Amino acid sequence: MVIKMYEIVDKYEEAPNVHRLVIREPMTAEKAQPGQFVILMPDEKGERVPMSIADVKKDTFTIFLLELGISTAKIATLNKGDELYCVVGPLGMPSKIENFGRVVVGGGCYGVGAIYPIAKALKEAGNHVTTIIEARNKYLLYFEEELASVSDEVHVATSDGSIGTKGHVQDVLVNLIREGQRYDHAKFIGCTYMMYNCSNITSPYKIPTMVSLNTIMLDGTGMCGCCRVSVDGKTKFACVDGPEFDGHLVDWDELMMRKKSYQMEEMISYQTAPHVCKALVETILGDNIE
Amino acid sequence: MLVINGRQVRYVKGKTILDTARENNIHIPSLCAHERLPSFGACRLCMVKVQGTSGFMNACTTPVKDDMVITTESLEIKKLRRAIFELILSEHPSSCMVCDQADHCDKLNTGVMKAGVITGCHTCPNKENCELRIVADELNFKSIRFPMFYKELPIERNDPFFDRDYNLCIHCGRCVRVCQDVEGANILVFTKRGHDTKVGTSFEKPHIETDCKFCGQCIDVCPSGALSARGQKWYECPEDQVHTTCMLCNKGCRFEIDVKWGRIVGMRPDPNYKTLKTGICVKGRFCIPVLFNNVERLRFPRILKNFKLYPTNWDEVATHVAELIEKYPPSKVAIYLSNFLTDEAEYVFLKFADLLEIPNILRKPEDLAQLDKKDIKILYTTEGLPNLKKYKSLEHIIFQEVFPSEGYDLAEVILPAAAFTEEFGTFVTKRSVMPIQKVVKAPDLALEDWKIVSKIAKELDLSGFDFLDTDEIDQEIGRMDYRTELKPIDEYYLKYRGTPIAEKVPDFDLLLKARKDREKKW
Repeated sequence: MVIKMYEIVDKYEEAPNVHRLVIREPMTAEKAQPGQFVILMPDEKGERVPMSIADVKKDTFTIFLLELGISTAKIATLNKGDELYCVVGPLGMPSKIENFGRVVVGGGCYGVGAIYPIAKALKEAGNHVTTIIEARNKYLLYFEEELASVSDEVHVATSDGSIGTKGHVQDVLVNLIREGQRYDHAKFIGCTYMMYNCSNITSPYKIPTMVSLNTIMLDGTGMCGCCRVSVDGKTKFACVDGPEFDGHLVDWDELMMRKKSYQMEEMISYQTAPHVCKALVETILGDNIE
Repeated sequence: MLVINGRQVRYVKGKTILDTARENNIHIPSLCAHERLPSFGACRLCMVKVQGTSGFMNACTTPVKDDMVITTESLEIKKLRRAIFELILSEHPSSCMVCDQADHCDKLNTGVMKAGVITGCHTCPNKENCELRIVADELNFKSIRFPMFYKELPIERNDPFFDRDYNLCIHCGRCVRVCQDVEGANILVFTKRGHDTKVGTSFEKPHIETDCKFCGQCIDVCPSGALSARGQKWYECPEDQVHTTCMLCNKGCRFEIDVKWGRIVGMRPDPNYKTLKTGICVKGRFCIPVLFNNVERLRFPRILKNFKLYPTNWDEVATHVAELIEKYPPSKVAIYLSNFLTDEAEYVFLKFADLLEIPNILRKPEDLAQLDKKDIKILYTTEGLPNLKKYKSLEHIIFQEVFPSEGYDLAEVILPAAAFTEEFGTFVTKRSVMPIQKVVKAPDLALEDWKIVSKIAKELDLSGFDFLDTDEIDQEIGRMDYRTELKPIDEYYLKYRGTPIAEKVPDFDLLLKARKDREKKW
């Protein structure tokens, strides 16, 4: 029997761009706690991409991969049975889980999947969990049923109003608060802009808010400092101090600027590294390759 | 007499209402009409009212007649256009257009989302020049009554250079028309019928298996983000647009180049120039950014010391070359002129050789046979040349190139040259003498060919090399009545200077390998 390292045991496209990958890596799976992440590499020359761990089953863990650049595109073209070049993890501090009382968790993009272990843990800790998820359109929504199984209530928002509330997580949250709902704690995972908006909403209501930041990251162990964020005026490393930080204290402007740092390299990388499907090269050119 | 919106306008009989209106500065929104393409009447946004007819007429397909009275704007027409546009958008990922956060999101959201599957404007590479967004703005489009239907077609990114996501396609037929009526290739067609209609190739084959020449014109006319060039997107708004001539062959196609971050990021054929009959080729349309942004470019002058090529500055390297050339009689020196030199560079080289009385000017690989016969000691080459090892008489090779191509290992001096997108000049093409514009700065210390020779010439105390720019060289060329000739580099020439293009452009390599056994070259 061939033993594969970091084998993708299951891969499924949950929604356009969002891939659910189940990866066999017993040591990571054994130690992983809600809120932690792994770093993956598609191949030797690929970028190191941090991904939230969304679920753990036996010796495998699940991630939700959002295709957003050349390295994630490379991972997205891998199939069931293929191997990743490397997996590092679990990394980061686990999410703070205790009995807060009434908790709201929000997810967008990959966060819809990544919020799952946190909602589950919060529910197990005895909290009343309200889950709010967002997507642009109903065909981009996924994972609703799984989230419903670990939440007391699930609300959906879409940008065009094709299902649920027309708007975003923050709009649903505002509506719920105005209806008289009270929350003791909030956790959000999604794109920076969504977490920024949600933190702005919870701030006047003084709901303690934790956001899982997705900064540019390199080693993931606190050595390089790529992932620095300013929280309450102090420099923190998202990889070892985070990824969860107090959403009301994060310097969002700086974070959004820092995320744009490598725009040129990201674009130019598409010129020289074509992610031409491997299978196609083999089938069409099989005999012609010298 | 012809009246549009109560105004009497000039017209030419036989032209369409849309063309006539546009010539008279009357705007009618449209998505399928394109100035280079025959009328089609696919989008039906250009509906107008013609007096005396029932219903509405398509402005893009109805020819004007005498005594027509046309209304292009009214409440009724506005309502109709809105409904038509809503129907078009009901099959196009439109959530971002109706999102209440759209403006704020554009300003604040972090970077470009280079998504594989485009699910909204926010992840779309064509966002900045999307014609759908322009029409949405014109119609002040803020909400959609119909549920969006996502076609769930697979993303086609198995072809070299192309990314195709037909889930964004609005069936305007521009790509089909440009392929059939302009290019005459008939690769893109409407496949299936009725609601399942889709643009594609016959039998849904990948483009690489068809006779597609990869001219990229389908991408250039696409109003949505359905068709895109893989290496030429995700840069949002370019910082600058420069027009220049492609020098990869002697056809003289003009291109409009998008520049951002000091790099070439996008290209398209210059709309103001008509390309020669054979059309834009894959080399010019797709290979240039990949080729010249390559990390393997020569960036620093180098001199061989202790069996290693050490980077140095221009002063030192010019002195070194001058010393080398002075060491031997001129008859022992040969200069190899690349076909890819600009006219100015070639002239400066010839002037240099003339003043030093160097008799050996080589222009094609066959000329290299003279090397041993004439006992040449120094070869100053401007192109990578194969098998230089076999010429036993050669003692020093001066290597002036863009890439470390063949002969780099044997060279004693490396002079990094600018590529044609990084210099001014002129170039003889089949069309005429065409200007070359400087699009971006050459990487690091690389310099234009004529500047390098001038530096060496000055080091050798030759006078007449104090050119400030190529205009001064051109003036001198004019006085000397010197004329450069058309170079023997045709459309299917596969190298730039000494470097095979496919070596640096993986997609081009894939294309050549796939077309190897076929009659058509690409």
